[in-house]
Amino acid sequence: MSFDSSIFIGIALMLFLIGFAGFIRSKSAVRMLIAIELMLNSANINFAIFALYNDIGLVTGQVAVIISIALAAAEAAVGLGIILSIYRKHGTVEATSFQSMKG
Amino acid sequence: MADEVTHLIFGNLAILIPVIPIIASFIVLFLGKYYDKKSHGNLFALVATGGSLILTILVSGEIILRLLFEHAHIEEKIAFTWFHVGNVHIEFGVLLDPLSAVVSLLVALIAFLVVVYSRSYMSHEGSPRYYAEISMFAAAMLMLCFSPNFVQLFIGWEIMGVCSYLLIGYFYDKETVPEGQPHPASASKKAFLTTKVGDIFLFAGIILVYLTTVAASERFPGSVYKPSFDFIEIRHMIEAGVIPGIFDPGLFVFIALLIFGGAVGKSAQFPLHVWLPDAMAGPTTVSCLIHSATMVKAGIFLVARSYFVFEFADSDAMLIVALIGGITAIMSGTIALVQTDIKGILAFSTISQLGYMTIGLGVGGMGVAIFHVINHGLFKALLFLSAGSVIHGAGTQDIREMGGLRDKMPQTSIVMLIGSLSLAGIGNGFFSKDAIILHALDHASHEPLIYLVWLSSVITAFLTAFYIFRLWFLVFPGESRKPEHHAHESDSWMTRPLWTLAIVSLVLTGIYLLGNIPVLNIKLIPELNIEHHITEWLMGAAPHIDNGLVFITQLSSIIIALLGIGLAYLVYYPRKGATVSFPEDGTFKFEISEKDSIISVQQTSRSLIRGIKLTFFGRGIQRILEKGYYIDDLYLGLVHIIYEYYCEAMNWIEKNVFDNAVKFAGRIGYELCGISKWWDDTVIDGVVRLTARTSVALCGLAKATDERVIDNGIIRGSAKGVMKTGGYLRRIQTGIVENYALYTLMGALTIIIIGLLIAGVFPL
Repeated sequence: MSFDSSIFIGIALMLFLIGFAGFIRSKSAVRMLIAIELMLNSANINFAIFALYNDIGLVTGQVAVIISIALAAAEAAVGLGIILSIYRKHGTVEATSFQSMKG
Repeated sequence: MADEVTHLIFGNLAILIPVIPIIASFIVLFLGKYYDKKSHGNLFALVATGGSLILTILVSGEIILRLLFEHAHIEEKIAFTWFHVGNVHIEFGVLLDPLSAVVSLLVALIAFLVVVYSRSYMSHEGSPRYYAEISMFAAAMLMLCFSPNFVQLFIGWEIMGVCSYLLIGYFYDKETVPEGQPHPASASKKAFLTTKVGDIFLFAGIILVYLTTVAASERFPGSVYKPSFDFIEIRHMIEAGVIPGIFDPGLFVFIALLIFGGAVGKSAQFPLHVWLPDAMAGPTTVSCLIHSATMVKAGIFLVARSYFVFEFADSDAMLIVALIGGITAIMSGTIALVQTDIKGILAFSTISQLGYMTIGLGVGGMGVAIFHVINHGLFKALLFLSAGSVIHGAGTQDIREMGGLRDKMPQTSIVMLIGSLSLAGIGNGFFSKDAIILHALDHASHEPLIYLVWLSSVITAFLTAFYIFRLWFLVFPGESRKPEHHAHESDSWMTRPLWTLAIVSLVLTGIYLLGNIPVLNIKLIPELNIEHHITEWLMGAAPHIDNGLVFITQLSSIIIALLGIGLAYLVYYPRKGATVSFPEDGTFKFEISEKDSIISVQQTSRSLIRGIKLTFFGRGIQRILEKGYYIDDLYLGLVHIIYEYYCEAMNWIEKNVFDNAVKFAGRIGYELCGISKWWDDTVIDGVVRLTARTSVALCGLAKATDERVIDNGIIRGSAKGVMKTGGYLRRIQTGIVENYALYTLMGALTIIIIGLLIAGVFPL
């Protein structure tokens, strides 16, 4: 392959860090879910980019991306469902207000 | 037709047609708040749809002119590879052929006019979101029109599904809705889920078509035949006999019906039509766009685009398509008779007209179906926009509360009359509707079941003329039934699109008339016989139909339309000195102050119909029609039954299977315990006692050691230590998710660093 993949890996890294910063910084559970999607997608970019490196036409990387997109969709659905039921019960989705795991 | 492939001058511009509105939809979303603030960023959408209209006129105009005057065979694909997996190249681009040219022209025109109209209509309720969604909606349909392969078509198809969901539910935060109307949020959900059922069929169909091409490429390795989603390539494979050599047409019936399943969902055909009447919960402009250009026409377009599959399939596929169309046409035509909501009448009329188009597809004339798509698109857009104008002016959607709007809204009344005439089969709607009926009658000689379809289409023609003039007569002439509504004419942003559509409609009627005067069968200027041309462009050659059949059908069509209008006139027209009012019992009253001959005829026919309506059967039929043949209730009931039975079954399994298993396990455990108890009591206890005595002696010794050394030293000491450590460590367990995430990151980093160290990246 004659192309330079470092830029894409850089993008993926950046995306991951943005997603992670968003995950750590944000209070709202919905935002956290969005941030998780960002991180998942950065992983997807890595999969797709490294998949281009084999010249024999294996598409395992792309297939992994598609599976992970499907998983992400399922995960988002479940996550949103949980958030929705939390909202119905407590009237808020601020993650900081749920600290029942506090030791 | 010449065989050499001509290159189009404006062909390269075609890719911009869908792209401009897509870009605009994002721009308007972000900048609509700041520029053109008063009309919520309408300007961006206006420029974008206007731009794509101009480009479409250039591209499609060139194609149509070339088809007309050069008799060229135009089929040009301009595409680039989007991605490739293995040896499948998925392309993205435009396919320029007569079908895409004709349909995209209609879509671009109506999208532009709707945006112009929205500037005034949505001036209070609009938002940048609305214009972004409208632009995206139009762009998706244009993308679908121009798509060269199934993948791009499916993408456009799904974007349209999402946009329709967003737009139907535009007033999602509405707190109250008029009785009998669905809430926008639930209507949009219903639309999305119902069309999704069709989408799944379509997706399966696309995959199956693809698999047939895979099989074809494997049969002839190294040949030009590759696995493909491309329309042209698949059609070539079918025409060259590659796919027919492998597969039976019977399989293609299945594939064709799966693809048609997508069209059934999107184009609101019989089993899945339930979403379209509810879709009027959105703004009227959106209904207009959905009903006339974008959403529902996509299904017909899909079938027309993949017509090669249907042609190759056994004739059973076509028969089923035609039958579904026939059922849809007459069913929704009858429901439209009892609707009282102005948009409801138009919605059911759309379903009924879509039924016509499906009949057209089924009786072997995809040309006539597309011809009806064009004409119906024009007059239905006109009718919906006029209805919007009426709602805007009169402040109600119930035709029972209107009346006498002709004096207050003269322009709207005239354009709506033009649209109504067209729908009833007098204006440009005549030519396409008549062509469909004609093809049905012609086809019936091969397939006797088609006679039913033909009958349905003829009856529907009568019903159409009746219900649309019931609407017009109740809304415009006479005196207002709710004088407290102060109706007013809409401003020029709204009336100009109406006039444009009315004029286009009239001009088209004129052109058709010049091309072919019906009944008399005089062709003044054969170049302008558009119906014949469209059939020829799309199908290769127009089927020959016996002149006598043409004469009878056209004559009867006109008579039927006039009969329908006449009956509506007799029953609903409020002549001077006569008023129509609607008491609570669901019927309506006809009061006269002065009599003339027509009024007495009206009175007789009115009391006759009232008499029929008030009988047991009449009331029953009215109720069935008002409920839409109980199809909604049927679906709801089915879901309930399935759900209930499923729960019931699960409950039974839980109670009988799992509970018993648990009990059985418990019983076994109990028995085992009994055995072990005996063993325990007799054998072990003895041993234990013996041991105990020995140990007591030892214990005395140990106790001394224990109390001094272990208790005070090790145990208390270690417990204290644990308590202290726990006290420190519990601070880590904050219960805050972010902190845990941070720990995870740290852990990951640690693992990475250790990994790097082990790999020897950093020399130690």
